[in-house]
Amino acid sequence: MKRTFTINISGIVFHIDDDAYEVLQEYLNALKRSFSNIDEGNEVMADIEARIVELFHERLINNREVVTVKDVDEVIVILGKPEEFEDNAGDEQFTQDAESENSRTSEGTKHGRRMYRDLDNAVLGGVSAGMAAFFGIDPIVVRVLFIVSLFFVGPLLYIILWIAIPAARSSAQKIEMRGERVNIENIERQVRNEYENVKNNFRNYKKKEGGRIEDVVNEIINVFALIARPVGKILLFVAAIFIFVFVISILVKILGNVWIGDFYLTEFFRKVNDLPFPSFLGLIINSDYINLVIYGLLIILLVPVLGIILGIVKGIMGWKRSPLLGGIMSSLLIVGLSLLIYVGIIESTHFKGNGMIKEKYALEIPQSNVLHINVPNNPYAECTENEDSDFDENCGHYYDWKNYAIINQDFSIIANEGNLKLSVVPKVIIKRNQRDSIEVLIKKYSLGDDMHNAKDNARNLHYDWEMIGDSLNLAAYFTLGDQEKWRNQNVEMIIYIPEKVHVKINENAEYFVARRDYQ
Amino acid sequence: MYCIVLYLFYIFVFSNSITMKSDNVKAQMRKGVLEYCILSLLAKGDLYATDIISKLKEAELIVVEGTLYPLLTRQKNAGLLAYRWEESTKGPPRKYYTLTEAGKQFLKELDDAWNSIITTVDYIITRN
Repeated sequence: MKRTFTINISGIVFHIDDDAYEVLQEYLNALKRSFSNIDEGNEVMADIEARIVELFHERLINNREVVTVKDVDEVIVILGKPEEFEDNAGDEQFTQDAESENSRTSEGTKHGRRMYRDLDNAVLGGVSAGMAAFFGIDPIVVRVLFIVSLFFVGPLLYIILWIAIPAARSSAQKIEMRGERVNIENIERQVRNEYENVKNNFRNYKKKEGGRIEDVVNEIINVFALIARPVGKILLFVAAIFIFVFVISILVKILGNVWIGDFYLTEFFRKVNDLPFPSFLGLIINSDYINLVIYGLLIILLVPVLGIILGIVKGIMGWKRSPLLGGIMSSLLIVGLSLLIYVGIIESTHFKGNGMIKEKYALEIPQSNVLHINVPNNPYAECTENEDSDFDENCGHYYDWKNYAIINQDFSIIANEGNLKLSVVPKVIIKRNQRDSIEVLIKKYSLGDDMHNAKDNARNLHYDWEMIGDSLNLAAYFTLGDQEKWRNQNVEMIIYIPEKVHVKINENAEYFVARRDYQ
Repeated sequence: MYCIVLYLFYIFVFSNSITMKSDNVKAQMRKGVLEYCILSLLAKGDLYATDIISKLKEAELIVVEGTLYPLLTRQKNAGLLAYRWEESTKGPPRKYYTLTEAGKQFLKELDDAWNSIITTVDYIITRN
């Protein structure tokens, strides 16, 4: 059984199926549109409608009372579609469109081409064929391109496209693939397909399910859903807020190192504790900018999270979309980004220049002809993590961003009332020379605003070492001067030892003395 | 890679517009003679729109009826045709078209034009 509409064309009444009505309506609208720009348009429409009446009458014979889709189809074929009309207005319209490629004017006929994989013409997966159909070129061209891409990215491109592009299975899809215009016929076909689909789905649904039991279950689910839906929404809303707060606190914790409490995973935050971020920043950049960076990072990390959560909440609660909100968030993101970029640019000027200082020393060969190279115990090498206390013995601890210590085997950063002390392990190399004295060459590297500044920075590095008797005592690390910022400083110490001298290295020195050309 | 795709895109556009244009030419030709044929048919007697259509279809000059109505109306507005309403058993009253004096005159001019075109084109074609 179908629904019918009662319409009148040119003053004559007809009964028409609802789907046929849709098609007819669309057709008439299209006609109207195509005649809208000619003077006699109304007259022509009247003529056409009169003709439609005649054609319908011809079909409503033998007690038929209702106009069907089939009838409308036939009428459309007889009368023709607007784009088939060979008259002035039509031609101009189509010449324009031919030249403007895919963009149809607002006459209502859109060039609805979509990319599908063409399985009928496929060699592998139909990717080339489909793409070729979309662009209106020969598949061979596309295949050649893929082969070329094989050399650059391997089969990756093809595989990705194979996965991403759907295959054109239904005839509607195949039409879309070739780019037939989405017009009357296609729309009608769409309408019909959808109508059929819905009908079939209903039928299948009834067939599959066992009838009675399913109905009861459905009823129960419906009632349950009725109650559960609002409750569920509220719960989800609460959960969303909870997640939001959680994420914020994590970020704030990492960035600002604020202790939230035992509620969260202490393990995770312990690790994070060892590297207090703002302090770390203070070592590199001017302390004035640290806050800017923190704010910038907070904004950039928070806004997207906020956006996602808001989106979820809105989706659940069905709130209206607000373009203003989107605008605000984007602006915030831009602000955050600008902060970071601003600081980045300013600070990067301090890393432009490269400088190195050399110091040469000559030492007497000890009388015993044995040289002991000693490095004192590095207290930080024994950094162990104590799970039970708030901060660890020997490892990093943190009080506030002016008093903290970051420590591990390769370097340590100690801040005392804002005075920074960075200690880094130097590189020590032992080589042989052909002289009769021990030569020590110390190279200090640093970056700076320019070469001059870089050299100054390098000069400010302190590395303690002295020769006492037959022992060369080296410090475990070199330090920056007071208030010096990190500029990728490095210290290299090369010790040239004559052949005849025997070298003994104590166990602490094993770690960082790189032997080369040595026994 | 992108350059190649862009290039292919342009080829596509270009070739598309070429084929469209040849279809266009045919359509233009048909359109040109269509009005002439309508007037010729009416010269032999008054006709309903549907009669005109079936005769044109016989000659395979027209495929869809929709082409005709705008043309007829335009010619009527130009004073070449006139119509009167005739009652019909098949539905609402129909327009019964007739050629006006101006139409007859215009038709004569078209006859001359047509003959000269035929001669000229024939001449050009057969010169090979």
